[in-house]
Amino acid sequence: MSILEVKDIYFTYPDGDHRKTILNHVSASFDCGKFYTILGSSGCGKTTFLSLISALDKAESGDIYYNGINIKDIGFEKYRRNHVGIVFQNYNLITYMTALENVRIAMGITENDVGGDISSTALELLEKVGIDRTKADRRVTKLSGGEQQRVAIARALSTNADIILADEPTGNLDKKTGRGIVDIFKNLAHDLNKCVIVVTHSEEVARESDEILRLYSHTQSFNFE
Amino acid sequence: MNLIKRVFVSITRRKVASLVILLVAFLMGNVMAVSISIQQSGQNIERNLLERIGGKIVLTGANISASRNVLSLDETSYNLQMNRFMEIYDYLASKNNIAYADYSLHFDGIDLVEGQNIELDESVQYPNGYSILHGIENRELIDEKERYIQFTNGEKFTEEQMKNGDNVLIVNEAVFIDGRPVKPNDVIEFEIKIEEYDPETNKFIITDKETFSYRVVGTFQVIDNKFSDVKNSNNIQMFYTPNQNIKNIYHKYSEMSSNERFQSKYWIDSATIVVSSSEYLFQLSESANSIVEEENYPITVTSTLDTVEKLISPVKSISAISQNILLFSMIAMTIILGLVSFYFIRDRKKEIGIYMSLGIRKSHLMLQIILESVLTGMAAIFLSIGSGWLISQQYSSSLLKNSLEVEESEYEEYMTDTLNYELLAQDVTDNYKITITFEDVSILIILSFSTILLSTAFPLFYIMRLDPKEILLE
Ligand SMILES: Nc1ncnc2c1ncn2[C@@H]1O[C@H](COP(=O)(O)OP(=O)(O)OP(=O)(O)O)[C@@H](O)[C@H]1O
Ligand SMILES: [Mg+2]
Repeated sequence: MSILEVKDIYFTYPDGDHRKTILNHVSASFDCGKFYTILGSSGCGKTTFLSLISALDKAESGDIYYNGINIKDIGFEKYRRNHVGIVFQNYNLITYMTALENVRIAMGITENDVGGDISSTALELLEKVGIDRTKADRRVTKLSGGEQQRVAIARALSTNADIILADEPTGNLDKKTGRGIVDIFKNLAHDLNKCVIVVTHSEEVARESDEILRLYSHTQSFNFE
Repeated sequence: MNLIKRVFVSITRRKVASLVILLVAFLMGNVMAVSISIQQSGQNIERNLLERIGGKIVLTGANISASRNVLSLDETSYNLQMNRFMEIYDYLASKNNIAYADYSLHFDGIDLVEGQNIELDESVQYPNGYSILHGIENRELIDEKERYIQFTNGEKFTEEQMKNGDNVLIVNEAVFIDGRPVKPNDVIEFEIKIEEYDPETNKFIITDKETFSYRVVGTFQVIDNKFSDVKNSNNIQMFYTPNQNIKNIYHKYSEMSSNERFQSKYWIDSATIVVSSSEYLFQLSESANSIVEEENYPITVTSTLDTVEKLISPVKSISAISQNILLFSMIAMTIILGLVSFYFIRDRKKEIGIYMSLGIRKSHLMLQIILESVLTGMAAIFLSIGSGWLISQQYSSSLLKNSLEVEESEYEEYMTDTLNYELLAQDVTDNYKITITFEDVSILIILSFSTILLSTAFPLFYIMRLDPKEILLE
């Protein structure tokens, strides 16, 4: 059984006095231990799709199953709290806190077991994504974009969620830094057995992934390669 | 990082927001502390003053304190009034919780026999409308109880002497006999003279006369008590004697004189009834009022409760104003704090969105916002307890002084009869001490806590409507 099953999702946005169909009966399934990328032209609905599988929004019809359980039954909040970690293009860190605090915030909210010593676990995670101790205690505003994105990844990992979702995580970063981030995602899937789903515009990033999903605006459905 | 740590980090790191909320709450807290302490002190002063003055009612029979020949009442109706007044007095004075009570009979048809070597203090001669003898109903001297005088030597009247109305006296030591202060067992001669008008000589001639020997049983001093001035004219007495003695003298006089030529006055001063504790005063004045209402003869009841209330009316109006200020400041604080926190929560839109994307429970998120406001606000409130108290001391005493000066004339009118205005006004200012009590602090904390809590409705409403997807996925 797949960790994440998307079945027949239908989603529209209001567009003037009509509604514009964005996702037209989309289905997909995702497994642990794999690094997925979602490609597609701008405005085709990638972010929308991600918002649905991260339970930040609700589909008009169709269902999403986590480990065979409908996420509606789990509860959106609880699903976000315990089962997905989200990484955003613009990092979305709490600016008045340090890197370490940003990670610890997530660990304080989840109900998952996050290990005994929260502080050292968080530091280890930051270390793993390339944030050393001195940077961990710095306000996130005093970190570079690439470093902030690493912190965001550490935060997504810290709750021990199975699924890591990222929307253009390298979009604001230079090629080299972006590659570093992609490597982290790859390792998450292969070493930590996470289900990693990354939305990207970069074919280069997509080449690194185990599976590429292309979303086409004319059919509004996936085409798996 | 748990809820409490998040709150702590948020308060300490977001310094500008915290300081602004702290400042606003501090200013409002001061206004609230001032108005609460002014209000509370207004209530304390009423209690304190009543305690100080004593719970007392004064009964005055309009006719019988003026005497019948002034009003040219016939003797029968006059005596009926006298008797009814005494009955009412007896009824009220025998109630529970009465500390002491008395009334004084006066008759001015008796005077010292001339030629005795007696000196009276000029300033206090015949203090009570030319009646030299001051009757008492209670052998325990009420004037001593009220600390106008101090018993110095000898004995008080016995029950027997009170009942028979013996010719006995308790005399002011300011009275000198043979050049020395009066002392027990001295004898002082009084006389009744019946005079008749002789139209031929156009003069009064004495038609009858009788002398009475009074024995001094005790002596007293007028003491320099603050309140010794209060009822000045009534209380610096020369000679106390039992009321029954005054009655006896009056009857003697009536027998000797013919009704038509009745010249001298016989009357009752007001009666005073003092409760054992001011808490019983209301009850007593209620029953006094309900009795006199049904009387055919006019009797007025004055209570120190009315006096105190009248006296502290400026304090009351200050209290009333401060009550409005309190209400207004609570509403203002709710709105201003609400708007300020609303303003700052808008800046935290993204942070809130992050919490939501991390799957925080709505209830925890709301609790966090409430705790942040309440902790910052209450810290300011605690600071304002001290400063508010200082301000209210400055502010209210000057406010009170002004009010007292403005309304002074009004008091004088009211007060002349029973109590001395200036002394009491002084008492009001003396007793009007703004003290911060546990009660004041509790009220301040409860009211400001509710206000701050209420003000969080503004940011909470904003949070409820936030959509994390819109905030984060742009
Ligand atoms: N809140 C909204 N209301 C109405 N239309 C919206 C809303 N959000 C997105 N859309 C529209 O829905 C379509 C899909 O948007 P989405 O953000 O999912 O695209 P995307 O594939 O992520 O694009 P990009 O690659 O540029 O990020 C777009 O045409 C967009 O204009
Ligand atoms: Mg997008």
